[in-house]
Formats: sequence, C-alpha cells, structure tokens
Amino acid sequence: MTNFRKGVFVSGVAALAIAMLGAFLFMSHPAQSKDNRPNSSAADGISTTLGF
Amino acid sequence: MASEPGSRINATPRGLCLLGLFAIGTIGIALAGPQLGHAFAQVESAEQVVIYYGNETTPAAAGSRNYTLLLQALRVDGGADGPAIADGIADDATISPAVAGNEVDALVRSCGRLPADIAIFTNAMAMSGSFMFCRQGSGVTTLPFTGPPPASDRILNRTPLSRPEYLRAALERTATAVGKSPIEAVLLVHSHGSIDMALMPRVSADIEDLDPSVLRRGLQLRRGTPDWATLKGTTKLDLWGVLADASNDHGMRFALVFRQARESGPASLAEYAAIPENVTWIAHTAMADLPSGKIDYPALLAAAAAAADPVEGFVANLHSQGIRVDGRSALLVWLVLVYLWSIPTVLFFLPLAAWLCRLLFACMSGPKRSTSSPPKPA
Repeated sequence: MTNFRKGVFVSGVAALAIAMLGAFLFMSHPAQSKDNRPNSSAADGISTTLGF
Repeated sequence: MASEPGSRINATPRGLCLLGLFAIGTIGIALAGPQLGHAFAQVESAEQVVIYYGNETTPAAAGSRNYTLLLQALRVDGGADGPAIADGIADDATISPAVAGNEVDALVRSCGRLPADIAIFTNAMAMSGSFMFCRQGSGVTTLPFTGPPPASDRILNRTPLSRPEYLRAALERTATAVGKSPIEAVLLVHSHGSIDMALMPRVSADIEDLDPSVLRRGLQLRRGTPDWATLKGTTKLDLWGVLADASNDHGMRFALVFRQARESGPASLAEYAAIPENVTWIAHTAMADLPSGKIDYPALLAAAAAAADPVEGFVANLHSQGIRVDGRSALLVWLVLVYLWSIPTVLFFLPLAAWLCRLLFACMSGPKRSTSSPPKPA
C-alpha cells in the first residue's frame, strides 16, 4: 500500500469514527428523551427564553 | 544454589530502600495516627441530619396579577403552543405544592424511624415564619424561622426559598437546631430549575408593569431574553457557594446533595470547580426533565431507614429511581459529555464529508494524471 493510500485509509477511518461519535452523541442526548408534559418542572423553548 | 555476585551487590541497595520506605511509613503512621483517628472519630460522631428544602409554587405567586396577565397573554397571543404552556403553568400552581406537601408528609412519617435529625423547609412554612424539625428518636416540632429581609424583586418574594439568602438562613437555622458539630447533612433541594439555575420560581417573568404590546411582541418573536424575563433565584454556582459557607461557618459537610429539578446536572467546568470539598455525592437529573412527583419519597426514606448508613440508602434508592448519583470524579466525566453535546452534531460529520470530497477529487483527477504522463522509454 502506498503512502497516499495509507493516508487516505487512516484519514477515512478517523473521519468515520468522528461521525459515529457525533451520531452516538446525538442519539444519547438527554434532550431526546425530555418529558414535555405540562406538569414538568418548567416548560422549555419559549418558556426558558421568556422566563416561564 | 549459586547466585551471581552482581545481583547480590544490586539487591542490597534495593533492600535498604525498601527498609527505608518501611521505616518512613511506620514513622508517618505513628505521627499521623492520632490526627487520622481524630478525623475519623469526628466523621463517626458527626450528627446526621436530612434537610428538605422545598421551593414549591405558592398561592401568592399563583394568585398574583402577574400570573393572571401572563396566562391570558399566552392563551391569546402565545401562538400554537401558548395555550398548552399556559395550562402547564396553571397546573403547576396546584401540582407543585401538592407534591411538596406529599414529600413533607413522608418526611414527617419517617421521623423516629430514620436514624437522623430531619429539618423541613418549604415556601409555605417560610412565609409563615416557621420550619419543622425532628430530632432523632423524638417527634416533629415546629420552630420559628426568620428569613432575611424581603428582596427588591416581588417575584422572588412570592417564592422566597428561590433566594440564596434563604438557603443560607435555612442551613444556619438547621445547625442551630441540631446544636452539635460536626454535622453530616443530606440535602434534598426540590425546585424548578434550568441548566443554569438551581433554585427558581416557575415563572420568573415579571409582566405586571409591562406594556402589553411589548409582551405581545416578545411572545410572537420568541427570541432573546429581555430584562423582564431573566430567570430569577439561585444559580448553580451560588448554591455551591452557600454550601461552602455552611461548611466554614457551621462545620457542616454534605454527604449527599440531591438537586431535585429538571436539568440539574453540572453545567460547566466553572461550576465543577465551585463544588466544595465537603460534598461527597451529588444526585442530579443531568440534562433531562423531572416530572412532578416522580421521586417516590416513602420508598426513598424507607431505604434510608433500612440501610446501615442512611446515606448509602439514599444513594442506592435514588439511583434505582433513575437519578444520576455521582462523586466528584464521575461528575467530571459527565461534564466532558456536556461539552461534547454542546457541539452542533453537523460538525462531527464535516471531516467525513471533507474526506469523501477529497476521495472523489482524487478519483476524478487520477486518470487525467495517468493519461498526461510521458511514455516510459523502452
């Protein structure tokens, strides 16, 4: 394998790993499982911005 | 068995080193022993107290003109989700005090069974100038509690336990009621919260004197945080500052601090650095919601009463109820995740996109290079 191909392979694996980390973080973000029932401790979005 | 002369020569200094270390260790233990023993004895003999600090929504807040105006504005000008938010705020006015009341009832019932003193503070009690105290092995008594002077902010005065000054006063009053030092406390802080706030009222926005057109525009734009909507109360940094002061002033250490609110996890490295040394366990909801009444207080207190060490009972039961309970080092790991989560997801895919572009470019330019190369000499 030439140096060029090695470089392409290694950088590709690294880029894929970073993308997979991003996907994992996105899926595991606690906001994904937020409970938006009205009786939650506080509402979100507009509510936090506007103080309620 | 014969041994090489060189190895014997090398073994002697090594043996001397080990002997020296052993001697230093023995002397160190002999010197530090009484100090360590004293420290352990202090921890062992520390008076344990469970402090409940319930910052519930009060009738004063829910019945205020501010609430009436806000709910009306949300239902009329709040857009598609305005009525739902208004309903949420209106529901909270009854649910929040009811949940706090149930938690207080559970604490009162556990008086005598829990091997610790119990101090109970709520907004309702604070506004009537009292708090409840249960000395281990005896019944519950109502004691006077004088908070600091009213704040300049009327929103905070309707939910006074939102203020750091009240938390400070509550810890001071608890230390006085316990009457012994050192104190090992389990602090249960139930409040509304946000990523930055540890204690706050359900509604921070003060719109009583606000021009209706300004409010209408704010509800429609939903951008930025105007002055009238700044979140009020105790920030997470303020909370740790108060606990550090309680340690210095009253010899109080906190075996467990439970921030019973939504998004109650540590928010920044600055907050992590502010956590005083006298805090062992921190229970929090990370960045998640905490629906009202989710924590089963009777089960929590029963677990604490049954355990050999109540703190272990609290920690194990909170963990089983889905609450994160972390020591300082685990909290640091959590913070790494918090910072990674703050990076927009799309940025993680940029290197892959760049790599694919580069590969595509290489594939497209590769054949051209081969065709333009000069023919090899025969």
